Amino acid sequence: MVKVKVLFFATLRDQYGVREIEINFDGTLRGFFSELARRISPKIKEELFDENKGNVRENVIFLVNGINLKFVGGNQVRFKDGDTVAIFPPIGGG
Amino acid sequence: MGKILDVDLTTRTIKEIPLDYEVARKWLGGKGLALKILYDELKDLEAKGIAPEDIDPLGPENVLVFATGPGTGVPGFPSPGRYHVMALKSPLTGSIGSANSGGEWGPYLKFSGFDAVVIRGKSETPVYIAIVNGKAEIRDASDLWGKNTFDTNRILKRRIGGKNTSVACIGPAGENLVLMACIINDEHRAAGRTGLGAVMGSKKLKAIVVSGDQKVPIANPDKFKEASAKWIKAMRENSVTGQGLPKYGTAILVNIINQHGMLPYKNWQTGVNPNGEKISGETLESKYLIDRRPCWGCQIGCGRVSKVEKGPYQILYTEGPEYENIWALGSSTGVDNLEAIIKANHYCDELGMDPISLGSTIACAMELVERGIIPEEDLQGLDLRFGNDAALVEAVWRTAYKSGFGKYLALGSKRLAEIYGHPEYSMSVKGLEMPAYDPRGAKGIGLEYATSNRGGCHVTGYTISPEILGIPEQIDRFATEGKAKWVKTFQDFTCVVNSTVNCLFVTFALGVDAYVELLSAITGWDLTSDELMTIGERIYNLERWIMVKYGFSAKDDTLPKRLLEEPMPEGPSKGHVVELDKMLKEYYELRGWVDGKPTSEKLKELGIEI
Repeated sequence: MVKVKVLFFATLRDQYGVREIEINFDGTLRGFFSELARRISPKIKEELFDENKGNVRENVIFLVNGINLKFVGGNQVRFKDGDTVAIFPPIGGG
Repeated sequence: MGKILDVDLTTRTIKEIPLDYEVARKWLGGKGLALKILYDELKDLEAKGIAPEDIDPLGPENVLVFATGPGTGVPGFPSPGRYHVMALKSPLTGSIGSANSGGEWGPYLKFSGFDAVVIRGKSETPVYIAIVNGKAEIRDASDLWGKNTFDTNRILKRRIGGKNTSVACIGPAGENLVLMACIINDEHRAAGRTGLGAVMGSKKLKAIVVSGDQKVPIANPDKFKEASAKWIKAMRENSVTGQGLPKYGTAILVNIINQHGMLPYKNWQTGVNPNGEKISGETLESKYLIDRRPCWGCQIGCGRVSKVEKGPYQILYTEGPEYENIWALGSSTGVDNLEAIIKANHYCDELGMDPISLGSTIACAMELVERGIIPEEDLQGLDLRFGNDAALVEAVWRTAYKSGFGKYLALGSKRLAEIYGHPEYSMSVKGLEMPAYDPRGAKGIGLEYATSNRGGCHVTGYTISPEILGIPEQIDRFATEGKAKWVKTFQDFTCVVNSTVNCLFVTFALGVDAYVELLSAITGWDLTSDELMTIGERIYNLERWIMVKYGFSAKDDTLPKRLLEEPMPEGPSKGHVVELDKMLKEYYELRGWVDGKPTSEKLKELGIEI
């Protein structure tokens, strides 16, 4: 089991009433979202995670210690104790 | 509309010039049309014996062009409420002046009967230009000179009357020839960058008012209606243009960029701002946002309306601040008081200055002060230290009026830092202060800053989109391979957008095929993606060719030493520098340039006459 800090931004804060939590889970991506579903709401998992692909939905920005998930193993990522995850819904700007 | 208005402020003459449709097909409109007009102007000046490098940006020989494109002001076109302004030379950079703005002015120029306005010469006394339903006049503005942009806007709107009336004007900063002065329209919209407000000020041109009810012709209305429905639906269904931008505006980027460890803090000394949350889009939305304000006809509506209820930074109605403004006035200066930032931003609109250049210049001064390089007595009581929110707000006023230390701030960071013997602390490229993304955390935007024709600019080639936001796909922000192709493609496509003139944010959802369909229906031309992208490449190359005439070359396609040589000291982007040389080599090859200059073969290929 690993303990990880999760930060939520933008619409995720309003929708789920949470800015930051710490979770314990098995260190896998599926495990991460299952724990989020349990702690916050199944809807957050539905919004952010594609069950069929076993991966974060397109255009969701998912960072592990400031690095995009795609470059730290994608859906094969192994989280470590003390990691910080930051999640943003699809965003634009200039 | 088929007509260009040509105003000579020296001789006080006004001409109507028919829009040459061959020129329009080759250059599209907007930025492309403006650039073509300026290039012809440059050749005329050369024929008269005035060398390009001798053109005084604050002299009568500088020319301003305000231009719309085929998409501007067309109801149902994606985000059609914009216009583009260009000057032969920017007083801040010495390169081409170029800026883009939203609001209502662009569409209302078209409704007044014209596609573009060319301003030449210089008036001896303050004037404004009134363009009402096909008729234009130069009128006395001595009662307006000295007024801020809000008062100027209200007085002129009342004076001209009419429903579709809009004012583009300068404030005291432009009148005082502050080098980062901008043009403000509809009170809070800005053609912000490269100091075009100072160009207007040098011509004693206070404002251009446009008004009218003329209809924009569409060649194939049925085809356009079909294309519009399809592409607007795509925009509404897109999570960025349909959800993220409308709800949060651009300020949402503060936390994203900070979490990537590339939000420049204290004049780019690091990319991690410990107080980022305090100045974030989420904080803006929860504490100060009271409404949204879309530009004319826009389906996205990212414009913010904010209010600071009470306290020393009270402001009961303002628009913005945008991400770049929050960053430049806030993170760059170390100020974490969002109320002070909102107020400083409001004053930038009121007085008519570019917050990006101003904030960065203040930050540069702060670093020079803290390093003991600027002596206390020069500051004349302006305590410019990182984080000092009162000094930030005071500095905005001092700069607009060139009062005390403000006369140095008014020069921009490059000249300021040079005066004090330390040019390396100006975080600018070609004299234009860079915006809010540290390229040590996203190498592609570093190549964009270095090669952007108008100077340190992000929007002309916004690789933050694939590098950070994952649009259209997620690429490795730290990689250098392949970045040149992204930068070139984005630069060329952005020229298409700036020549259509509609809003760049549309491109989070739509690609060039949407523009092909929509523009073909409006113009009746049989456009293709290749033709549009070639037009974009042509525009980019002509802009660069003019810069070559001014003396620019590969030596100017660079970045401040801090970004090339000082590894990011902390955070998720720790240890990185920008490996510019590698990317630049590939970029020049793709562009067909040698030493940063288009070859004669490339110019010929693109149909640019030397």
